[in-house]
Formats: sequence, C-alpha cells, structure tokens
Amino acid sequence: MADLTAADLRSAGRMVGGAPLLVGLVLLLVTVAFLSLGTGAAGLSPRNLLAAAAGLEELERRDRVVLFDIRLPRLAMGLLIGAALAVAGALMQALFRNPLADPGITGVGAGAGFGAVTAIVLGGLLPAGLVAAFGTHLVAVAAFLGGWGATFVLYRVATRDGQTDVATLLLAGIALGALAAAATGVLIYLADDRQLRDLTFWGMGSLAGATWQKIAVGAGLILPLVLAAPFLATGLNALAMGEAQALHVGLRVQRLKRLAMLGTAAAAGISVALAGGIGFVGIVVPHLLRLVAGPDNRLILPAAALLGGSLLVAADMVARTVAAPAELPIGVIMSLIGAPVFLWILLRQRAARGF
Amino acid sequence: MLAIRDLHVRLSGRPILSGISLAVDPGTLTAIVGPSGSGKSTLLRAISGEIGYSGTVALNGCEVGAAAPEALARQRAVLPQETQVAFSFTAAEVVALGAHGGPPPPRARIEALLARVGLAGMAGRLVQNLSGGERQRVHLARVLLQAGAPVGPEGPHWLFLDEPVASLDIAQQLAVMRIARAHADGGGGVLAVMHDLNLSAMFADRIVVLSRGRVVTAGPPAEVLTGAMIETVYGCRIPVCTLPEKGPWLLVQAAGAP
Repeated sequence: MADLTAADLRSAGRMVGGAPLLVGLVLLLVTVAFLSLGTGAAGLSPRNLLAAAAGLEELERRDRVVLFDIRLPRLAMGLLIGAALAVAGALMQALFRNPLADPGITGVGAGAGFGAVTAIVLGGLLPAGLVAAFGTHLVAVAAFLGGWGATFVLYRVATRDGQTDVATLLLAGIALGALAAAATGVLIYLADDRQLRDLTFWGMGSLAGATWQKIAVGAGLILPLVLAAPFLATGLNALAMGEAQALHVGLRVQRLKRLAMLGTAAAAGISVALAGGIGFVGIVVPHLLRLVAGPDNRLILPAAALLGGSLLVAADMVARTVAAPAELPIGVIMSLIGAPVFLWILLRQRAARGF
Repeated sequence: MLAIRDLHVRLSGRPILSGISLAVDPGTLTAIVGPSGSGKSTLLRAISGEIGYSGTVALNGCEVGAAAPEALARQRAVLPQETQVAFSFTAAEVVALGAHGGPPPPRARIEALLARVGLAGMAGRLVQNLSGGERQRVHLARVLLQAGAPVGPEGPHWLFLDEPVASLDIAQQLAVMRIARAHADGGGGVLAVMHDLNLSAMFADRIVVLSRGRVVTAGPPAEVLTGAMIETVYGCRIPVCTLPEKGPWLLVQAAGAP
C-alpha cells in the first residue's frame, strides 16, 4: 500500500501516521508495565522501584519476592495474553472483513473454552503416553482445536462467495457459543471436586495464576504468532476488497484464509487456555487503532499486539487495586470497558448505513 | 492471445456457459454483449481464473485454470461490476492494492492514475465515502496499475472489464472507454462486458453476442449489430441506423422501440 502524505491523513480523518503510533505505543507499554510493577496490595511502590533501579536503595527480601514471583510473572502474562487476544481479533476482523468479528463474540472463545474444559475433565482418559507427550500443553492444544473448529464452522456458515453476512456471523456466533456452553456444562456435570475448582478459577478469567512455567508455554506459542501475523498483512489488505478481487491481484486466497483462521484459533485458544475467558480486547484494540491510524493491517497487527498488552495490564492493575486486598476478575473489568465500546461501534455502523 | 475452446461452466449444477469457443487477439478491444443472464459475467469470471470450468482457456499460452494466482495477476487485471472495500481505506491505498506482491508503487504513479480516471486530488479520500461512479473509477485505476503497460516482457497485458461504465455519466463513460481503447491500441488486449450497444459499436473492434450461455454471433460491429440480431437475442424490435460519415459506426435508436 501507498504511504500516506500528511494531507491524506487529514483528508481521511486519521490522527497519526504509522511510525509515531508505534513509538507512542511502545512508550505507553513501558509506562503501563512500570506502573503495574509498582502497584499492588503489598507496599512496593513505583518510587521504590525507581530508587532500586537507580541503585539508591536496596529492595527488601520481601519486596523482591513480591516483584519477581508475583508482579513480574503477572505483568508478563498480561502482556502476552493481551497481545494474543488483540491480534486474534485483528486477524479475525480482516478475515471476515468486519470490525465486529471477535473470538469472544463469535463463539470462537467458547469453542476454545470447550476444548480446554474437555482437556481438564477428560484428559485423564487419554492414553498416558499421549498425555505425557503433550504435558502442560494439553489444555492449550485442546483449546486451540476447539477454537479452530468454531472458526471453521463460522466461516462456512457466515461467508458466501467471499462476502460475510454480519447478521449470520453474529447469530452463528450465538449458536456456537450456546452449543459450546451446553457441552461444557455436561462436562462440568461429569467433573470431580478437584476439577471443578480448576474450572471455576479458570472460567472467571484471571491473570492471578501466572507462573513462570505457564509464561514459558505462553511465550513459546504467542511470541512467534504475534511476530508472524504481520507477514499476512498485505494479503489481508487485499482481502478487504473481497475474495475474487484479492485473487485477481494475485493473492493465494485459500492459503491466506487458512493461515488467518489458524492464527485466530491459536491466539484465542492459547489465551483462553492460560487466562480463561477475557472478552472484548480483540474488539476494542483494533477498532481504536483503525480509528486513529486507518485500517492498514501492516500497522494494525503489530500495533494491536502492543496496545492489547498495555490494555490488559492496565485492566489487571484496576482489577487488583479497586477492591484491594480482594481482587476482581479481569474478565469483569474488560467487559465493563468492552461492552459499551461494542455498542458504540454498532451505533456508528448503523449511522454509516443511515438507519 | 486468448484462446477459448469448448468452454463449459456449471454453477450450482446449472449449466451457465455451453461450448464457448473464441479467439481474441491482443491489440483489440472486444465487447461481450447479450441480455441479462446470458452468461457474460460468468464468461469473464471463468477466463479470470475465478471459477472452475471444463474446456480450455489459454491466456498468452498458459492454461488459466491451472495457473498460480500471482502468475495470472501478471497477465491480466480484472475490474468486477462492483467492489466493496471493507474498512476505511483511502483511494490511494486501494489503488496501491493493484501492486500486490510487488514493491509499493511510487506516490506520483498513483496520483497520475487517479488523474487519468478523472479523480485528480482524491488520493486521500476514504473510498467508502465516494459515490458509486467514483468508487468504480478508483478500482479502474487499481486495475490499470496492475496491468501496467499494454505490453510487458511476458507478452501483452489483458484487461477484463465487467460493465466498466455501468454507474458513470456520459462524459465519464467516454473517458473510460477511451482508456480501454488506448490499452488495446498500445498492443494490450481488452475484453469488456457491455450493456450499451452504442458504446460497444463506437469502441470495439469486435462484438461477441452471448445468449443463454452460447455465442450467437461474433464479428465487427457493422456486421453483428443488426435489427434482426437484436430482435432474435433481446426479443424487441429496434431500428438500427448507420451513420455514413462515421464509417462503420452504428446507432441503435431506442426511440423506435415498441
């Protein structure tokens, strides 16, 4: 795509070009990360951190434990999950050519959830060799398969001749979500007490369970995904014209669609497996970015990873402090932010179509 | 050279095209006309490599159905009847999509192409806010960017245009047909699905008439556009006058329709 002149940016109603946006987002990420490390129930403050970083002050042993065993893993997890969710949303919106497509709303998250619950409850029934081979990845792999199945069904149902019908997309999402929830319910009914406790914590969506081991699993899957996603960007830009037109300009449409679906399912699946149900990041983040900087996926995909991480870490900070020492589930905070934004997008779309 | 032999296309089990055979030389503009539902757009989609077919479609010697998308994209560019771009892309961004897979086109080239289709100074406008006719011309500029020069190192470049003037006013119709004509005169090939028989007569070297998925007749406008043909194919009687001072051009006089 062409680089835009300053006059273009003005004429298109865009507030910022690509490079300044990315620099700004990196600065935001660093700021939010620092605040997050200096915020919490224990007394470690941003001032302590600054002083320690400058070598003026030694951290107490207790503070060091808080920093390295609690806040740092949680920060890393927030950045990873936020990036994965935002990139999953951006990929799915480009694939479906619609700003309302999001794993959480279209049942892909529910499908991934069903996969994860299946692995938690029925994982014991698999041959021991298989379980050992997957190890800690079993839940993530199952969540990915669930998410991929849901994405595939959704695409087949809602897309015809390369055009996606939004009403069908959202309705199919409701049906898929209900189906996955019902199937999950059956599994919960079968679960024993220990599994039930696992499921309850997991289902609320939280970064509280962040451990370095989980982070290693998440980083191993999410980082390659986030770094690879921008390579689909030019193809996804062409796909914005529709499948036939994208084919006309030389895009291998089927291959791109397959990769985008895999990417969506992997990103949604991994984040669901690690942090449970956290909604709306995938809607809010790409939408805000498109609003200020336009829809070019070469910019949206990397920017979504940065802003998604910042947003989730900031939401987690609120979740941890607003009712301290108790903690709200981060899923609740995100829905409080995200649901109104979703409604706002619907209103704008309605205004654009003039009814 | 575009060589179509015994082309059959079925969509949802229904035969749409049956036994089409056509040979089109580069350096010419061919208009495909016929009543709605006669298979004109399907023919364009088949030779674009968009839908499956049986028979042969050889474009510059390579079989379209078996060619890779990026190889086809170097041989031909396609303007569909309508293109809806999702998200708020600017006109310049949409035109640049014509260079998919290659280096980003220089800004000056995009502006020149937009000016050529009558959209000078519109590079930064959001495509979704443009009128139907403006949008169609943005996509024409994209198609021209993709096609490049009429003749390239791999042979002639082809333009497949599906009703390129459908949503345009009469001045824009002429401007767009002149662009297509210039591409043909430069040695490239142009196939255009047309509804307007007068414009077809004015600009085409050859007119192919489709009806019910078959070629009824094909040849120079003066031979093909007869009152008898129009009555057989379209089912209405319209007098056709020849303007002597315009040489072989014809005038289809709609006022005489019953």
